Amino acid sequence: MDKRINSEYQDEKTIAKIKTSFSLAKPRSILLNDFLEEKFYNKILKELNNTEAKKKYSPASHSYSELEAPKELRELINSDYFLSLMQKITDKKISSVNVSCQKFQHQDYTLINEKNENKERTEFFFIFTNAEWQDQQGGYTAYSQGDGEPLIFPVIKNSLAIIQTENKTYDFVKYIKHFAGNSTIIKVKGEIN
Amino acid sequence: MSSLNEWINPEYLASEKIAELQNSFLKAEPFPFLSLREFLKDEKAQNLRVALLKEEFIQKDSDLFSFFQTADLSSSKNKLIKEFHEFLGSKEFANFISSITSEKLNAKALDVSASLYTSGDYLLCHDDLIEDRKIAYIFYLCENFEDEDGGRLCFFSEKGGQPHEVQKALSPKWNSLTFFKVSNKSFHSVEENFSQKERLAIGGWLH
Repeated sequence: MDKRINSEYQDEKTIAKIKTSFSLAKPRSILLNDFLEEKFYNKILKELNNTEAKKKYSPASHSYSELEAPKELRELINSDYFLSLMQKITDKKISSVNVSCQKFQHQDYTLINEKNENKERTEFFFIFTNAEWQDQQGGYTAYSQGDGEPLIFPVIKNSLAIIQTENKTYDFVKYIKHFAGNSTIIKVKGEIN
Repeated sequence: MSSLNEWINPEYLASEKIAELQNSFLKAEPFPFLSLREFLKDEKAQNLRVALLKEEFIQKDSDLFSFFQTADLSSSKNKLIKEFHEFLGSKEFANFISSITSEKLNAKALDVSASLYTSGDYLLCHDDLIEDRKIAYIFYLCENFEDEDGGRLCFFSEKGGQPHEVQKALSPKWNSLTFFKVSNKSFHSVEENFSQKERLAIGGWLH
């Protein structure tokens, strides 16, 4: 048993159900709530909040701050258990994971860039935040294929989103409005290779 | 009476004034633009605001924006809005804007819709450069916006073909017309409306 992950997600029956839900969704995706054990989540959140972040701003593309994911979280992501869990859910053989970490607050966003080559990809992201978020505050992550409603992952603390995108799927983080006050969202993303 | 005399503040119609406006437009930084305060005769502006608020506004939402917008006003059934649409599409108006901007404009070839930015609404940075748009225009029908209320039209300086930073920010002012030349440098945004006031405007492009 891995003490860093909610025991519910270490039960084979639960994992089988998650795998089924993931594969039936279009695009293939799932949002897992309360993924980390509370103590571990709070420890990582505290560490993230104490880590210096560097502003990245390109008006027609993005506004956020970049920081380094804590060592303990990177260790979890690269652990045998987590990688095998991702492999079971996505049915994708994993050779490596690229981890990045972004902090969003009022007036931050990312925009779709259609010039980027967007092939099929498998990725996941953890959400760390102190606040309860409503969609109208912004900050959610959306995956869009152009026409139709985008797939939206709401901002929920201690959630893990997993998605396998189809060709020409673009993601963005919705601009955070002043209703969010001083609340922040820290997104730790892993791109599976 | 020409449509210009009927609608526009006569101050803007004197030939020496046009030359002054042309000079201001062409010299503006970071790209050619101009703002004309008290642009319409005030009674026309007041009546237009009342008429517009009866139109249907639909919520528009994407990665780039969040605001409310009407359909193209060419389809409005309101008499005054129809007349205003005709005025914007008239040869006289196209010639008036051409004389300031030195852009050859095709009267009748225009897009016109109304937008409403409620609290939290915004439009992020983009250049408007699509097809044959030559001039983008915004006519404000909102009152009492101060800088701290947000909702400002922001113009970005450019570096290496990309927007760099806000160089000019214009608060929306009652009965003012702002227009700018559309190009691959015309990076602009509408700052989030931080207030509870409604930012009502008519805008679009001349071709």
